[in-house]
Amino acid sequence: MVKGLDLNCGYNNGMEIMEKQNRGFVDVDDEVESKGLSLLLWSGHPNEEDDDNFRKLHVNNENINDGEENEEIVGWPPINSLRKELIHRHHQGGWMANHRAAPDHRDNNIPVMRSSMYVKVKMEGVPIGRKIDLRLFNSYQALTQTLIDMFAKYTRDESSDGDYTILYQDKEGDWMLAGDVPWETFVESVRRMEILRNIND
Amino acid sequence: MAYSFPEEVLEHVFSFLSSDKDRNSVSLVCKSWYEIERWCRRRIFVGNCYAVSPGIVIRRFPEVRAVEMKGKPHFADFNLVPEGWGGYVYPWIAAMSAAYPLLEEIKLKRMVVTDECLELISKSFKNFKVLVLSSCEGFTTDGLASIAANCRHLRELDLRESEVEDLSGHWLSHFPDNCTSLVSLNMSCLGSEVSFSALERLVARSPNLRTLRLNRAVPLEKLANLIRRAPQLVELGTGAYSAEIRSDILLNLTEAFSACKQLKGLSGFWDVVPAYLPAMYSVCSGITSLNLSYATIQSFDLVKLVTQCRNLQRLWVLDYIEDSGLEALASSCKDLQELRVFPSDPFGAEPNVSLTEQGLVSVSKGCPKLQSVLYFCRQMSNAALISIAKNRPKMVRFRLCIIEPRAPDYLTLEPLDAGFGAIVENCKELRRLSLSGLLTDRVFKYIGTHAKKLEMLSIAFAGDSDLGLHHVLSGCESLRKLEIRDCPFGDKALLANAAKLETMRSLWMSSCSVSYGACKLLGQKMPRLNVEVIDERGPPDSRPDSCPVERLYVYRTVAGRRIDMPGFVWTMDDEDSGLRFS
Repeated sequence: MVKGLDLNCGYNNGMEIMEKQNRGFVDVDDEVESKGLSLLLWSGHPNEEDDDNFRKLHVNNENINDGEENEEIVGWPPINSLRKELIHRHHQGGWMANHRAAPDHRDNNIPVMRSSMYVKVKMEGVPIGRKIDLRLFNSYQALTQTLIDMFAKYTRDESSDGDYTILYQDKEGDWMLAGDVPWETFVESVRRMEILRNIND
Repeated sequence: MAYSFPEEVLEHVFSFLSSDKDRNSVSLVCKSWYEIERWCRRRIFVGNCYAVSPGIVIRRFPEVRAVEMKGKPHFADFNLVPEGWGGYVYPWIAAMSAAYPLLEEIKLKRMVVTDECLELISKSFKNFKVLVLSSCEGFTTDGLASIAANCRHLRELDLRESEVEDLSGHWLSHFPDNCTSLVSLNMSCLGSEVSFSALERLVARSPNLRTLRLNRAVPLEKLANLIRRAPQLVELGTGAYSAEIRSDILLNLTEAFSACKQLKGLSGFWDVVPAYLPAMYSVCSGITSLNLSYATIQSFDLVKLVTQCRNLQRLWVLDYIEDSGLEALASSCKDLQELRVFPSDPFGAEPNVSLTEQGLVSVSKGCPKLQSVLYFCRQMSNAALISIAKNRPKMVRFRLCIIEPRAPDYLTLEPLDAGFGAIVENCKELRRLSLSGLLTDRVFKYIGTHAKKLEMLSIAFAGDSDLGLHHVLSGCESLRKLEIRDCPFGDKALLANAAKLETMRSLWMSSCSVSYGACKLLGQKMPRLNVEVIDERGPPDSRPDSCPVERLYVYRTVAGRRIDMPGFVWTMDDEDSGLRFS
């Protein structure tokens, strides 16, 4: 029997560890052995007592993932980085983006481009990024306030006192200080944003 | 009496065995066969670079000419493996450069390859011919320059989806003027412009060139000149397929394409301008493989192109093709074997195209040879999955990604258990399966019961308890790779099936419910498994044993624990597990 081990599980049959094993050499391409070492016997009643624990964990995961509107889940949907880059570039303005304003001569009015303007926002030291729809704002002030509210919960006990710097990456890929150009120019060229905390101490 | 044959005869007989599996079987017959076989094995495949050490491989197989090897877990493609995890090829190259002076081929997938590695390759193997770097990283165009400059007999340089730091386009001019052996060149992943005159000269002096995949920086205006110099091409990846609409460019291109009588594969098409697509209509009837997954054009233009490719066997396309386009595909392309439909706007909240489960149902109905599917969509139903399963019982690879996690059958709001159940029950040849949508433990019961040939399974956001994982591990006899994220699977299923893990290449579990204690126990009791906990929150023993680990990667190995682990990976074994048994 095992001591000093908390696997947080309760089993009908108790935990049995088979000390003796009789396993042949497993070659890299060997056929599957169906019988072999089991570190505990399958009771047939999974998660009876730890059901609640699992459920809690599950719920936690969901909170992280589905939390708020339009939050990105890392690695989902499963698309590799090259493809993501393509999508990004395309939304920046490929041929379709440049031609979507023109009336469609074939009259198949497919809504090709989305009507929103989502950009990614990250805050220094906060692991989860957010996406916001820039169409919902009409000034730096409104944007700043929303961003601060959005990220406030992550920074509750920090000493920054709401003193932030907002940087953005423009079409050319350069990082600029938000507020230096007129709002309309900013909206046209922003690709992503990052919020830095100014900690003065 | 097998052993009475002279060795040379047996060697000759063995040379007809090309599959690794047959070779492995031969080597298990008797000691003398083992000896003969190991001396004449020319090609080796290592599915996990940490499952064996270079020393062990070299000792057993002293005369290898071709090596294929994989590094990081598959989920690395989707950013689930932290930067710096490992998968370094350098120790392998260093050992092989001393042991295998006659090495001709290296094919790597998801490995970290430095410029130093590339230089070592280029200088160590005098008869080096093939370098394939698939989803690799860590090197720059300087490394490619050494390959170009020093590998005099190079036949194939394929960078597939590698991430190359692009310092300059001049690497291509390092191919010496007497290099005429090139058969295949794939540089589609490179960002910067290559020296065009160097490219043109290289293509012109490579009479055996069959595959040429350009990158986006090669403009359409130059494509005609290039392919005119290589009318023998079988596979062509274009660069950017856009230009101002000018009749001379179109005419030029049309002529150039019509000279390529052997073209079978087309890809590229970045920024494609539909007006230029007719340039290649003349080759469409010969095309068997078409990758339009970078072509952001609408259904109308896609359909017009695709339906002319009557002999198409493989199509990769964006969801701009829509249901109607897939229906047209189904009625025109009766030889289709593989279909991949990628999302054009996976992160948008609302669908931007009219692509549903219906498109896939049409293709499954119309294309009798379809056996491989990767399909991204936003809605699915059990009824659709059931009809796909019944239409195509010979399906081998079926990967479905419903973009919204845990999306139920949109018609009945039921889980998709019955639909995926039908897939595994009807498709007896299924080797690879990816699940998505709302799924309970029931689907895993179906999988464990029916998917006897399944080799790779990907699971995300599914199941309700350990029972799900238990069904898979105890039922899927042929399973080699299992990758799981965000599922409530934990200790019991893992520990109850510990021995199963030794029969598999690897198991990945992230954001699941496996406790640190279970990982420790697994590592301690299964000495042939490397049990690695990946946790960026700091040492897992600073938390209670019952605390779930962030990520778990388990693989069998004959090399012991690896020594190149970064700070966020912990391996579970006797030394640091701290378990006490009485």
